[in-house]
Amino acid sequence: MRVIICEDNLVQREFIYKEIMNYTSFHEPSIELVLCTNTPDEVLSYLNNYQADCYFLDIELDHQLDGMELAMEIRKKDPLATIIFITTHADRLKLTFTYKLAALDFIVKDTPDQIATQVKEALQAAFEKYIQFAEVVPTELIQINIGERIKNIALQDIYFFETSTIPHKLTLYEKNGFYEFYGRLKDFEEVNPSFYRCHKSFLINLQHVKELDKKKRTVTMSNGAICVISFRAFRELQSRLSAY
Amino acid sequence: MTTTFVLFSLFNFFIIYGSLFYIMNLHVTIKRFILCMLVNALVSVLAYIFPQSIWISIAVSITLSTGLIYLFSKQHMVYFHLLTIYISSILVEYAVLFLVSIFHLSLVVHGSLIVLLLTIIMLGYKKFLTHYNWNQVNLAIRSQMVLFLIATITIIVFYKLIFVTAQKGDIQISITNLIILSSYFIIMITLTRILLFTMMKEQSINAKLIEQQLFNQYMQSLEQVNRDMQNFRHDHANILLSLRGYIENDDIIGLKKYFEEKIVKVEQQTLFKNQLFSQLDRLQIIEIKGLISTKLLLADELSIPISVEVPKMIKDISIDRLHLSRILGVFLDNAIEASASLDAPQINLAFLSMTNEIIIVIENKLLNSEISIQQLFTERYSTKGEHRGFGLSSVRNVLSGYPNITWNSRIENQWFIHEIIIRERITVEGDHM
Repeated sequence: MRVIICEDNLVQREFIYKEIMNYTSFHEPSIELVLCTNTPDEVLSYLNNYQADCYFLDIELDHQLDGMELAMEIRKKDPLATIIFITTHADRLKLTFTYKLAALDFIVKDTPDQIATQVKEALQAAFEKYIQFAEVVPTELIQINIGERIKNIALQDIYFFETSTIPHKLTLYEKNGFYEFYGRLKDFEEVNPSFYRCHKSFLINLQHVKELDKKKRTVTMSNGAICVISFRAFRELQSRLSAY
Repeated sequence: MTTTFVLFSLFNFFIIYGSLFYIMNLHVTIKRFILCMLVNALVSVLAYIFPQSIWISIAVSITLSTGLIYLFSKQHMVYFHLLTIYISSILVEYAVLFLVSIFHLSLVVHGSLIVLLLTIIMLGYKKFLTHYNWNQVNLAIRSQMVLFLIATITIIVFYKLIFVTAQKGDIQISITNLIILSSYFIIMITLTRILLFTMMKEQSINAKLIEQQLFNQYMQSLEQVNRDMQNFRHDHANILLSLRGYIENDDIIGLKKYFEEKIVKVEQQTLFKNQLFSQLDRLQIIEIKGLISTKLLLADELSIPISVEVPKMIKDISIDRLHLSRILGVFLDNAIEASASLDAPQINLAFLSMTNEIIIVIENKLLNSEISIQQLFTERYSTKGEHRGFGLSSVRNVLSGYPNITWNSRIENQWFIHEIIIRERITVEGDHM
């Protein structure tokens, strides 16, 4: 993983530089610090020729481009890059960073000890994300965009999909919550062999079926949700479930 | 006899379904075409079998067509559109019949006159609908029922007074009835329009009142911030004096402690509050501003930190403002309630404008994610369609009426996160297609 630092305060820059070098030499030698600079120009000219994976950017740069704008430039070139902002307390804008710039993390300029832990944690998270990109087979995920933020949902965590009264609006229920988005149930039927369309408006994950109610023709999922089964699908559902 | 009958039925078919598809912005596909054809054929057969009681075929036609088009479009307004088309086609047919009998016109002219008049009426009707944005109107179930009843009674009266008399051969009486009824109808529509107008006016006055209240609240919270700033300034002198005391005694450790505890903390708080209001300034929706500032003060009293982010100016959001303030109220109340028992609570709120959507994010720290997620889900599911607790049911009710809004809710790393994504209305039209 290639890392770039852009911070115009000399003390801060050297501090972060030192922390990252410490971390890489002790924990992850495969992390490489490729550029440590005080101006966005150098970052941009570097990006013209090379690539990097992780950026530590100061928000308040004394330059015509501030950290936010630099981040937007970087995003244009590399939508997958990990961006970590360095900022003072007063103008922390966590949600703006995450949703508008898909920043992974931000480091608040605090006492040196706290900065050190924050840098370490951010670097760790960035590295995990970097590794994940290489490992995860894309078909095992469903991606949902929320602004610039990309939310990966693992197929095995999905309980079921449900249609709504509004055409093309679907709700996905998973381990940690629910998501609404535009699409058709049909497009997800083939995504995973354990998905089963048990009703016109339900696509359930057979892995998460808790019990079947024959009388009411409903299925209870492991999170307690109840889905309706259509008359035609009931028998097939039973046989598919017994195969599990 | 049979050929004219078939021709007539085809003619009818194109008039009714053509107008319906046009008015409801539906795409014509082969499947839909064939299904409509089938319904029409059934109606024609019924009309052929029971020529004496034409009401059978009319009733069947209305029910089946309504059901079919509802399946295609999932819009409740189908029934009214259909009845409007029926009534206007009756009116047109009679008007043309009147002209034909005066000027002794041929059958072709007769037919084309009908089509021409009906096209004009449908164009006008659609213009009326788009002008008043009828498709976006969310009527309560009760008013829908009332409208349904009115429409049904109208069609029955029309049938009884015009069709029946016309069939008995009393064209004269039928035409008189038609004229009387039409004028009655037009008068009723005008009166209803006036009534609706006054009702809407009353509603907007009410909304203004609420807006005024919220604005007052906002003003009050601004005053509070102002007072805080003044207090801070007042304290300034005292702080400097204390600092001087420490310095004169060369008490560096005491000075450090005093600086950390008294100055840094207090200053951060005041600056933070100031920053909140400067962020809120960019949200130019006064009702929402008022609501948020009230909740900010409430949270402040309970010493729950709330951060508000509005990075770009937001002038308008494609959702009814009262609806928005209701759901934000529910989310913020929940967040504040959940934070009250925490050691290190934090609530973040953001209004983020993207290229053609606005994302509202509300998140709050949770103590024990396991319990809460179970609660959230059991409450959401307990009885389908009737979600209790957390006030989330009302949020669901409000948001489910908006095709341009999606809502995500989840628990992630001890944060309870809600995201509301509101697309601009213009793009919504495209989604319907």
